[in-house]
Amino acid sequence: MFIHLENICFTYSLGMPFETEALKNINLEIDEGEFIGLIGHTGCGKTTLIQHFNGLLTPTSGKIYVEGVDLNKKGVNLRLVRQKIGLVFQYPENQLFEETIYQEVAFGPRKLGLPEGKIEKRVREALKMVDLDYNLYIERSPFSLSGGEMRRVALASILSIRPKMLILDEPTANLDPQGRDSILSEIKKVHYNFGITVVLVSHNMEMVAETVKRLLVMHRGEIILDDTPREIFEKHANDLVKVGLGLPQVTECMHKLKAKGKDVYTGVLTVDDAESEVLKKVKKTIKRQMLKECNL
Amino acid sequence: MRILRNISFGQYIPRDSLIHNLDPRIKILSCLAIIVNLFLITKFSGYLILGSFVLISIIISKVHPKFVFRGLRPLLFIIIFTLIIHLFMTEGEVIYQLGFLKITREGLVKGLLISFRLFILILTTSLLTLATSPISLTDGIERLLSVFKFIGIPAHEIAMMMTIALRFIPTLLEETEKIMKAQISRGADFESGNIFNRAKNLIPILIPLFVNAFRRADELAIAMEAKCYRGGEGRTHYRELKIKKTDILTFILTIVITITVSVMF
Amino acid sequence: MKDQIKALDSINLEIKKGDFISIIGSNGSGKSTFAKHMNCLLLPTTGDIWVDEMNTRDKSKTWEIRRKVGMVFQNPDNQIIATTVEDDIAFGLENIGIKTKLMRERVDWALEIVEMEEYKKSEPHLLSGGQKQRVAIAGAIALHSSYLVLDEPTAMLDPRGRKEVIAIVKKLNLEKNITIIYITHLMEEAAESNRVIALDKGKIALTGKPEEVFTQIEILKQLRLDVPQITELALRLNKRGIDISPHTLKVEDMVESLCLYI
Repeated sequence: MFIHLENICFTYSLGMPFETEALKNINLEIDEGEFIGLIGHTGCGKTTLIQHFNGLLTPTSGKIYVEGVDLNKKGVNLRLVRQKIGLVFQYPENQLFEETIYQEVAFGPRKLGLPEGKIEKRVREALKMVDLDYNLYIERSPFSLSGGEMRRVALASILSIRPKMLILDEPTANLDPQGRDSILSEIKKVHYNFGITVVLVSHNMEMVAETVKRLLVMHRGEIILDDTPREIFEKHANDLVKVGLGLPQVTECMHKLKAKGKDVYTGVLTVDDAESEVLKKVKKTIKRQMLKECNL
Repeated sequence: MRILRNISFGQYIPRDSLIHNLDPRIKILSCLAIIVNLFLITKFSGYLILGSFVLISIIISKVHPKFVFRGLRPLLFIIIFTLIIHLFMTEGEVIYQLGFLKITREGLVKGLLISFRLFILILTTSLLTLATSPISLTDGIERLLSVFKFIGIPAHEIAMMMTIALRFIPTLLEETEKIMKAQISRGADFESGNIFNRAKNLIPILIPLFVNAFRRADELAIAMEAKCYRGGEGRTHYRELKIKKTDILTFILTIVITITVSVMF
Repeated sequence: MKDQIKALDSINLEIKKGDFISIIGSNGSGKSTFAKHMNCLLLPTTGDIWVDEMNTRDKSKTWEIRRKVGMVFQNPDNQIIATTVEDDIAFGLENIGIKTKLMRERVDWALEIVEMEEYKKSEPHLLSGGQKQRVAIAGAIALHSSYLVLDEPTAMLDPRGRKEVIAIVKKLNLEKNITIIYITHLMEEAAESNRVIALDKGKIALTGKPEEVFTQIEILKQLRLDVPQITELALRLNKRGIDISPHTLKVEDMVESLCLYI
């Protein structure tokens, strides 16, 4: 088990008049190698939750273990934990500050005290992971890039610390379809080619549904659903709609057919799924009609 | 890091009171009158009268005294420090001696007077900011300064700058916290090292903060232009300031008290 | 200059009163540049833009044009100027010198339209993204503008905020007869408009009703734009010999057509 959360509660401004309960009794286990989506509305506690994973926030009550180590025990080196768990904030391009892209990506490894040779190796590796050409980019200023490229540099600057787990808060927010697809394919590559555990935080249902293997749904500081996207879409579509998250169009279409008494499988995630499901059912109907006509 | 979230700027406490409802110009001018007065008078009885005038105003304002005195806390050190300096450093009739340290009567009187002066000064200004919303405060300052337009004081521009600063302080604080956390996640360290190193470690926070602030300023300027903004010329005011009877009475009362006090003491 | 970039390239377009137009295009297609030409924030290098018979080049008309063409930008945090909601809505009115009494009426009127009356005295930084954008919209329409240009107003919002904003925009168009020019890269939002214009490298690449534009899947993909899931499904099923209109844009229509087959 990589991360284990036990009865985590968190209250902002404890004891102040504007005290707010952001997390209520969260229990969660994440294994190495998982690909998880964390979905919920703004203010549901997703961002607060992920900041507990690398010790940026300390729970009001409850325990967090990373590889068996209790994060809140005295003497735990949180910097080591942060090296294992890379956290990419929303709009990470806003945190760029170095003169060149090389320096930007080298910031993390340098803080780890690595020798220059190793740092260079890590920069090469990280830029490759996000599909940026080392020779073309290292001398350029990060501020001269397009929005999508800046975000990829920001992602590389986390990957260069070689985390075992990568948490991304809304990595595709405010990108156009092309930028979104390229970031998404890099995240998939990081997971499938390099075996990094990924937690993808988002409110974009369609994107998450197509990408992750396990989906966590948060609402008002609680994890209300935890299953595969297919299971959740098939059995808990109502709950999703109730908390205002909505469904991908194709899933919604299947549920509406089902509501009209049609026997269709509602756990569809993509257009491909929906197409094959509809074709299957249409063929059956046609066959039945043909049989009926023959009998007449 | 969480501290940033808890700082409250423009420590306005909304209440429905006579003091809150006064015209901001009257409040600012009255405060000025009291402050000027504080530096004119030299007798305890004068401070006593002014002090009780301010204390009564605090009671009328319905703002809990604990908020008013909270403003004193960071300056308490300065008050005590000046008191001690005066106690021991003033030449005169010795009333108590401890080794080489001598407390003189003149020192005691002078020290206490200056402490009272600072004390009442802080109470007065705290009351002003506690009982006046930042908006009406900027409005008041704008109208008062516009009197001096003819000598080239840009009243409207100053007020607009104050408004925008007030509007963006919470946003920038939030952003600072976020950038700090993001850099900590990348391995930055803000807690250890000597002063020189700590200052150097601030670069990863300051540069993104400045870059973002400039972009914000640029976008804000375009948004303002799109809403027909073209400086203070021909501009009307959403918040009308009207001098009411209570305003006039309050002002007369303040002036009468301050003049009497400064003449008598 | 060598590095000259043509952001917009010989665009000819007429927008009728009461229309709801959406403009789509990937980053760098010229969408925002186009928007800024609508109210004299930018002037064309060549060509002319006329707003109600007023040329945007005519300096004496600049303020009248800006009053008529309201604008809402992408980042809700960077367009709110004042420290309370009501003061922010009044900002534009103060600029054009409206009398205080009338201003109060206008502020209340605008707040009611965007359904934010209860937040009149709130501080903007405590509002949600969707609420902030509604305040920005109120600030624009308070000037009694007849056109509203929205430059990716929902790009930074969550699904709930998006719904709030698009609902208000539709209401303005239908009930207040305000002409809408809505820039977005979200197809579900563009599908709400009467006419879609797809920009590519500063040129108009596609134009027509939503159901006409979104069924050009090949071209949309070339323009690096999304295709609504339902339209893609309809087209694929159509190719497989199922008689479903390739112009299907809405889930409800798809369900209805499929009911005949399943």
